[in-house]
Amino acid sequence: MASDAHHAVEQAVQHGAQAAEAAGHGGGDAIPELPNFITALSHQFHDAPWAHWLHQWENLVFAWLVALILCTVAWRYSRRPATIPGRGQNLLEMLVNGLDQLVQGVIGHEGRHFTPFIGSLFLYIWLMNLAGMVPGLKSPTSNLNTTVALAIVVFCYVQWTGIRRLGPARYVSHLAGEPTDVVGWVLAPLMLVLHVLGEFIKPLSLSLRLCFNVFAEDVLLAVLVGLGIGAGFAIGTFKIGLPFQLFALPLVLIFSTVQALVFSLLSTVYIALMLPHEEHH
Amino acid sequence: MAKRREPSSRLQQVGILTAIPFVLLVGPALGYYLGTAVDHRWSSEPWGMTIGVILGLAASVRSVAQFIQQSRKLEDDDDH
Repeated sequence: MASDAHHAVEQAVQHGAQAAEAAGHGGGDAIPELPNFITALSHQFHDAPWAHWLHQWENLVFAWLVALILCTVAWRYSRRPATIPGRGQNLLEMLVNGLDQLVQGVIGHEGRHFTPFIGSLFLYIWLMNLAGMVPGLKSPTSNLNTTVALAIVVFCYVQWTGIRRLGPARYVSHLAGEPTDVVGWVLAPLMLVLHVLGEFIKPLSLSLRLCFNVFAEDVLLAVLVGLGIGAGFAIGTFKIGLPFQLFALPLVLIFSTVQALVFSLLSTVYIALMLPHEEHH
Repeated sequence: MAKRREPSSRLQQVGILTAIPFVLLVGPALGYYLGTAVDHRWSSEPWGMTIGVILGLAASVRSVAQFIQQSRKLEDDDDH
């Protein structure tokens, strides 16, 4: 057991040294990345198929883990809500209330119907972003596959909302720019192409933005951990290294929150743009 | 005296407006990708790519205009 722990620390040191080397050489080929418990497991049991599978699908595993934690917490505090709420219930109610106000601020009173979707999206992305700050975990949102999957969900939800609220005929008319005169009808095919392209561009830009920001945060933490380890060894008195990354943690916490908020906010804006105009006043 | 805006409203506006560079980047890139795919399929170089990039850019600009409208709407709502 002790040798396992020692081996894990060695892996961390190796990763840290790689990170420091990459930072020192202005990037290089290797992208600095902090080790997580799955990389430690896959190094320990490199012949085992399950360890290989876990390593291959680590982003998915961490996304499931975050979803499981979120579901457990939500189930725990919403199962029997107390009249005088405790700390946990109070925090969740504050979050839900804040998200409800955010959605209603963009869409209007009709927005309350969309709070469950937007709220779940925010909490899920927020926790996935924050996972990168926890030693042994990784932010699944630092991988483009995760963020594109989230964008596809938003895209499908927005289109479904449009078809449901407008009806199929008015939905197509909305995509064609709602033509009313001859000029409108002449330009309708062009507007249709532009609108359909726009519907893909918006969620795709969201996913790229989220992925790049979280990836940059993770690289920053990895580089600082690597520098800390390098500095610790240079001083010679520390076996583990100096905790340089602690200075960046508040920044990462703020950016993770802002990125989750921006993704949710822009998803709300996409919904608002798809709704009939009289609905979001 | 000018009315003091809600910080959450300002944050929302910042969130919406900072999406603009990414939208302007993704539009032409998506147009290029789709246009190149069309060129490969129907050997129409360089028209597919050219038209794709122009349409992508136009769709991006249209999305940017929608974002600015939404941002101004938030500002107006905050003023009233």
